[in-house]
Amino acid sequence: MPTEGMAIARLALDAAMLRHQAIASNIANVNTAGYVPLRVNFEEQLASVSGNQGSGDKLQGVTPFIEQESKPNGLTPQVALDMEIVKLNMNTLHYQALLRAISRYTSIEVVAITEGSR
Amino acid sequence: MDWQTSFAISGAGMKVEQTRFNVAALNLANANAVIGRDGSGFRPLSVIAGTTNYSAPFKSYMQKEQMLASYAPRIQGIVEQDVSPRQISMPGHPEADDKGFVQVPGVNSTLEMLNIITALRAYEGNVVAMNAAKSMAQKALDIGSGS
Amino acid sequence: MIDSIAAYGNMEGIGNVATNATRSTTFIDWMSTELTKANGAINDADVNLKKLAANEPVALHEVMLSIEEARLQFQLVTQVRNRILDAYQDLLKMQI
Repeated sequence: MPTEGMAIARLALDAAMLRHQAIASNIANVNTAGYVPLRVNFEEQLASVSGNQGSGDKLQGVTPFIEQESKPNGLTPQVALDMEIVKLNMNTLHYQALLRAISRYTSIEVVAITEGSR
Repeated sequence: MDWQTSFAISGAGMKVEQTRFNVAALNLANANAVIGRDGSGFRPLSVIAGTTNYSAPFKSYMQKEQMLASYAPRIQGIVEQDVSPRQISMPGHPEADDKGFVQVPGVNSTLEMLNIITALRAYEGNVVAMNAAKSMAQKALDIGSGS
Repeated sequence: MIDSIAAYGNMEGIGNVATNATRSTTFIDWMSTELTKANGAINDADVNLKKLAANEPVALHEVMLSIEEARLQFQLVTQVRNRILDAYQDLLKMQI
């Protein structure tokens, strides 16, 4: 049975892939008039389910999805190329970190399965 | 220290330098835009950049690293410079006054060029800092891959 | 005769060996505390992995170090178990 960390990490990898698509779309449309930047809705969903102390199925409804960005003060959001590049770098790093952490974490289970012979 | 902070700080720095660059370029571009007789026209602008959090000494926040991101720079405002317009003798210009003078914004071109260069260099510095943060984080991911 | 045996045997020393032997039956305690530690370390690593996945503020080196710590701790327990099993097998094969 996968641990909660592994389950969330799996969703987070999905979210990172989607976020890459959103950022790529934003960069591609940097000169498009009237374009509304895209973002990924994932952490909000995690935060909303983190409160309920139910059984293992609390991640059931959590699915990362792409949505249009909105500014609270009613301003139309705009694409800033350099900020998108910063986000792209962060996302790449996050993806790499997740992959590496998952791979190292599963290597603990490998120790158990192979009884430490590897 | 969480890994997102260094990116947030560098990103905020890039935003500020971008704005400083834009404002300096705007000032230079409008250096010869004539101000109308009614006083309508461009005034040289300058950027007020500051940190979000002035309230406590920096060192005490260094110890509480979570608060470091609140020291990231941000644009506090863009204000008109307190300089009087330059007078240029241009008789026959439609906006010229009765002595033949027109008014143009009192842009200090040398200062604006300097602003552009410093903004550019500071921007580059932020990019370098961000790339360094990235490669540092990637090195942290190599922990344990020796075995 | 008895004197000569007494001359060979430092009774105090034998007594020490004996108490050591009774104490070494608590090896199972050591094993269980180490296993509990390993389990706790793995749980810590899981919590850190969760934080990393949820994009919460967490240092990458903390995450990686906690995972490696858990892995090493667990590997230690596993290897000790393997050695103990080997020793047990050796004892079984021993000619008496």
